[in-house]
Amino acid sequence: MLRELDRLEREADELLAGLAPHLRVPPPPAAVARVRSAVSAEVRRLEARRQRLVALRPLAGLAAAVVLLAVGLRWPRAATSSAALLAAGEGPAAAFEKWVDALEESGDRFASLLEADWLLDALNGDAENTGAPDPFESLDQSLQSLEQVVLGV
Amino acid sequence: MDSAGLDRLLQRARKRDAQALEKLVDMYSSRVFGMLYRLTGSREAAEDLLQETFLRVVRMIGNYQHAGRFESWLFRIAANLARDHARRGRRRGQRATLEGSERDGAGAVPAVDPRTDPGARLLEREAGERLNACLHELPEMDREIIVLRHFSGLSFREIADVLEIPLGTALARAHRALRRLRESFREES
Repeated sequence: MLRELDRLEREADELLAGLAPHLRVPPPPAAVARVRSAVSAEVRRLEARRQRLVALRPLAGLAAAVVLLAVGLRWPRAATSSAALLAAGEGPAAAFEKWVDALEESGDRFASLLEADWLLDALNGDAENTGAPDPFESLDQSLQSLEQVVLGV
Repeated sequence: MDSAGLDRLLQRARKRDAQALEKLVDMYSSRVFGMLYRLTGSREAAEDLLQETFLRVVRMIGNYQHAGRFESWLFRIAANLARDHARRGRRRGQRATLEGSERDGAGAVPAVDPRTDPGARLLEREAGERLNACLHELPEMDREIIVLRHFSGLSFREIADVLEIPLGTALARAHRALRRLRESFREES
C-alpha cells in the first residue's frame, strides 16, 4: 500500500514537472505594491489598537470595581421578601403547609355544615346559640395564612 | 533566503515589524498569487485574495508557532481563502469563469522574463492560457490538489489534511487529474 502511494506521488510529481513552466503567473507589480501598503496599514492599525487597550486597562479595573459595588449594594434589596418570612420565624414551606391544613379544616367544616340541619339557623344569626363553631372563622384564618405566604408579611 | 535568515525574519514579523512583513510579501507574493489565480481563474479575485492572505498573516502571526513550516501555514491560509471564495461564488450561482486577461493579452502578466523575445513570450502566454482553460475543466478538488502541490510545496499528506480527504484519495485524484490535464493540454496544443 505504502509503495503504491509512493509510486503515485512520484508519478504525479513527474507529470506536474512537465506542466510547471506553464503554471507560473507572477502578480502585477502594482498589486504587490498594494499588498505591501495594506500590510503596513494593518500593522499600524493593530499597533494603535494595542496602545488603546493598554491605555484602557486601568479603566477596565475601575469598571469592574464599580460593577461589583453595584451588585453588592443591590443584593440586600433583592432578598427583602424572603428575609421577612425568615424573620417571622417560619420558612415559606412551613407557612404554606399551615395554610393547606387550615384550608382543609375549613373545607371539612363547610362540608359538615352543609350536611347539618342547623346551617339555616346559623345564617339566621342563631349560630352562637347552638354552641357550634363559627364556620367562617377557620376560613378567615386560612386566608390570613395564605396572605402571609404570598405577601411575606 | 536560508533557513536561519527566514527564522530571523519570522521572529521580527511575529513582533509585527512592518519591514519584515513587507519582506515576506516580496518573497511569497509570486507563488501565492500564482496559486490563487490558478484556483480562482480570476486575476481580480486573485489580487484581492493575495491581499487578504497577507492581512491574515499580519493578524495571526503572533500566534504562529514557527517550526520550519511557514510556507505550509501561509499556503493553507491562501488555499482556505480560495475555497471560501469558490463557495461564495457557488452560493451566488456564479460559475468561475476565466478572465480574458490571458486570452486577449490586455493586462496580462508575462509568465516569462520580459527580456526574452516577444515571440517566446506570446507562445508562453498562449500555453498558460490553454493550461488555465484545461485546469478549469477539472473538478474543483482535483484542481486544488494540483495547484497546491505545484505552488505551495505542501506534501500530498499536508494537502490531504487541508482538503480533509485521505492521502490515497488525494494521490489518486492528482494522478488522474494530471493525466487528463496533460492529454487535454496536448490536444489543445
